[in-house]
Amino acid sequence: MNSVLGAISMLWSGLRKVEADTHTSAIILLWFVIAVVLAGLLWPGGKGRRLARQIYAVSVLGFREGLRMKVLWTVFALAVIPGTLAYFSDGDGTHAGRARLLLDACLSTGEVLGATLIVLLCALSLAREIENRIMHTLGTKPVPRWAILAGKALGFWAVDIMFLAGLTLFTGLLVWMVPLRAETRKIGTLVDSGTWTVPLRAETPKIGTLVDSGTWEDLRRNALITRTFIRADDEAEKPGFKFIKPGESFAWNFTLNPDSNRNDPLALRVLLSSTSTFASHINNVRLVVGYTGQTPFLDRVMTLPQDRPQELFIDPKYAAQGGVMSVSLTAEKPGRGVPSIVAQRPGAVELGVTADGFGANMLKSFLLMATQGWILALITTGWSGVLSFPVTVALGAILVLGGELSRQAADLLQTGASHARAIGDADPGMQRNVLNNLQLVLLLLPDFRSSGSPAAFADGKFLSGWLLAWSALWMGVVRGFGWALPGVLFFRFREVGK
Amino acid sequence: MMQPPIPVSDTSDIVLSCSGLTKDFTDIWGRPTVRSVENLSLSVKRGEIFGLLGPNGAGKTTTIKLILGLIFPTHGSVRVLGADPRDVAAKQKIGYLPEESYLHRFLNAEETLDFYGRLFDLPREVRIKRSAELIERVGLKHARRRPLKEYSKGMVRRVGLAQCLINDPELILLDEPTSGMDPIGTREIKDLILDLKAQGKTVLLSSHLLADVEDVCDHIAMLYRGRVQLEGRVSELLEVGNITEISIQDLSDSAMQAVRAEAERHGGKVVDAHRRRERLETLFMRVVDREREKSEGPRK
Repeated sequence: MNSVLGAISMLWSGLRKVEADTHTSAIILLWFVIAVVLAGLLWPGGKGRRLARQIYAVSVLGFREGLRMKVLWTVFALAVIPGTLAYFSDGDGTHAGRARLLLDACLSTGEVLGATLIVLLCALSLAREIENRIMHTLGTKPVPRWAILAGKALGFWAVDIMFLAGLTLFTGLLVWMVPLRAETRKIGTLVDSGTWTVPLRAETPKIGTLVDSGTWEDLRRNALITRTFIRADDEAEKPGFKFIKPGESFAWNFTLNPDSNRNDPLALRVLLSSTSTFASHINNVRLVVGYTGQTPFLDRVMTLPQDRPQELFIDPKYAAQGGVMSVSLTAEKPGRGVPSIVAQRPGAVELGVTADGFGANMLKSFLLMATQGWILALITTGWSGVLSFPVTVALGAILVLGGELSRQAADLLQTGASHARAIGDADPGMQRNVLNNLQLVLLLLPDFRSSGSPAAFADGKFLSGWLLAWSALWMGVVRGFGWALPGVLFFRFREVGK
Repeated sequence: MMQPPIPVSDTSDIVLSCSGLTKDFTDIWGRPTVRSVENLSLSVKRGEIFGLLGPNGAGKTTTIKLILGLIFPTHGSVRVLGADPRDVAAKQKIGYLPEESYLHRFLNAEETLDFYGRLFDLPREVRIKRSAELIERVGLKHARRRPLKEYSKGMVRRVGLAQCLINDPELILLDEPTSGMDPIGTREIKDLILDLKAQGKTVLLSSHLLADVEDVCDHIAMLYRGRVQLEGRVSELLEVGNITEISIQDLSDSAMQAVRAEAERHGGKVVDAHRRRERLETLFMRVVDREREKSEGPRK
C-alpha cells in the first residue's frame, strides 16, 4: 500500500515539476505520443476511422445547430460593444493608449464571453435532445455514446472558434483603424497631467517617440509589440519590499544582450507604491538610466502613477549597445509629507525587450482563448448528458470563475505570507500548510492562467509558444479529459428513453 | 447476476428474445413508482411480422425501449440479433421508428437521411442512392429540400420511416407506425411492412389499432398492464373452429334459402347470412385513387 502511494506521489510530483518548468522535451514527447496514437487510430483500415467519421457527422450537425442558436448571435452582439466603445473613447489620449484599451477590452471580452458561449451551447444541446427525445432516435444508432459527446463538443468548439476568430479580426481591424483617428489631446495636456511624460532637460536626449504622430509605424513600435520583461540581475535572490526613503536612491541593474532586440524601442516599466497610500501619483521621482561606467542617456525628474504601471520607451539605438544597464530611482528630497517609495522585488522595475509582433500575438491570444474553449467544451459536454441545463451551466461557471477566484485568493495569501516574512512577523508553518492544501485542491481545477491570460497581450507580455503547447496539453488533455471523463462514464449508463 | 434462459429450443432462427423482462420506473430516490413491464417473455423469429398489441399504457413502448437499450430492465434479459441491446455492432442491423418522429427540425429530408446514413458509416454513393430511393418510396420527393419544421405530422412520420430503413436493417422496430397518418399513408405503410417481410426482414410492430395489426402481422402478443395476456399466430388466434364462411357471388334470394335449408338438413345452424359489406378503408382508397387518376394519371 505504501509503495503504491509512494509511486503515485512520485508521479504527481514529477508532473508538477514538468508543469512548473515547462520542459520543451517533455512537451514534444507528449504531443508526439498523442500524434502517434491518433495517426494509428486514423490510419486507413484502422478501427478509429469509422468512429472518426461518425464523430465528424455529429460535429457537423452540432456546428449547424450552434449557428442556429440565438445565444451565439446575442453573445457576439455583446462582444463587439466593448471594442466599439473603446474605439470611440479617448483612453489616455494617445494612439498607443487607445490601441491598448482596445486590445484589453476586446480580448478580455472574448475571454469571458467565449467561455460563456461554449458553456451555454454545450450545456443546452444534449439536455435539449434528451428532453425533446431526439436521443430516442440517435441512441439507437451504432454510435457509442462517448462519440456522440465528442462530436457535440467538437461541433460547438468549431462555433466557438468561429466566434473567437470573428472577434480577433474585429479587434485587429479596430486597432488598425486607430491611426486614422486624430489625436484629441495634445502632448502638452499629457505633460501637464503628469501621467505620460515630463519635459526633457535640454541636455538629455529624447527617449523614444510618443505615439502622437498618428502613423501606423509609431503605433506598431510602441504599443503593438509584445515584450519579454526581464528582471534586474539579483532580484530573484532577494525578494521582498524595498523602501526608498526621501532623498535616498536605489538602482536596478539589467544585463542586456544587444542581439535580443530587433531595432525596436525598449520598454522600461515602472510599478511603484508609496507610504502615502491614497495618493494617485508619486511626485518628483528622479529617474536616471544609463550603461554602467558611461554618462546616463536619461536623467529626469518625473511624476509617476502609484500602483499602476508606467512605461517609457527607450530609443532602439541605446538598446543596441548591450552591457549592464542601470536604472536608478531617487525619492523626493525630505520635507513635510514627502512619502517613501515602496518597490516590490521582483517586479517594480522591469525592462521589456521585443519578443513578438502584433500578428503573432493576436494569433497567440486567439489560440489561448480557443484552448480555453476546448477545455470547457470537453467538460461541459461530458456532463451535459447527465446534469440538467442549469446545473451544467453552474459547473462551467464554477470551473471558470471558481478556479480563477480561488487562485486569486491563493495569490493574495502568498503575497501576505511574503510580506509577513519580509517584516519578520509571521507564523510561516501555519500559512504554508494552508497554502499547500489550497494549491493542492486548485490543481484539480482547470488553470487558464498557467499560460497567461489571453488578454496578457494588452499588457505587452510575451507568451511563449512552448507555454501555449504545454497549456493545451496539460489543461486540454489532462485536466479537460479528467474532468469530462466521469460525466462521459455516467452518460454511458444513463437511460435516455424515459 | 445469472441471466434467465431464453424460452426457445432453437435459437438459430430467433432474432429477438426477451426473458422475464420487468421494468420498474423509480423516483429520484430510487423508490419504484410504477411497474411498466412485468415478467415479459417473447421471441421473434426471422422473417416474421410480430405485433405488440395493447391499450395505452400497456407497456408496448417500454418494451421496445428495453429491446433497443434506451432504458435498462429491472429484471430479466434481452437479446437482439444474438447480442446485448446496447452492443453497438447489433445496432448496425436495427431500424427503429419511434412513437413520434424525433428528428432535427432544421434539417431537410435529404440531410436527415444523409446524417443517419453517416452514423451507419455508409459510403457516400450508397447514402445518396438509398436516400433518393427511400424519399421516393415514402412519397416526399416533392418536399425533399424543405426543412422538417415545415412538414405536416404525417410527412415527418414518413421521414422517420425512411431514416429507420436507411441502413437496410435486418430487424425493424416500428412503434405506432401509422400514428398521425392519413388512410392513404396508413395503407402505404402496411404495404411497405408486407414488402419488408417479402424481402426477408423481421418486423416488430407496436400498435393499438387492431385493424392494422390484423392486416399485416403473422404473430401477436397482447399486453395489458405490462403483462402478456395472450400470444400466438394471428391465423390461429382468430380462427373460430366450428364456424365456416362461404363466399358466393351472384346468388339469388331463393337460392340462398335453398343453401340455408341444405345446411340445416346436415345438422348445421346458420348463424348469420348477409350481403357482404365493403370495408371503409377500401372504399376510401378507391375514391381517392379515382380522383388522383383523374388529376395525375394512373398510379405506378
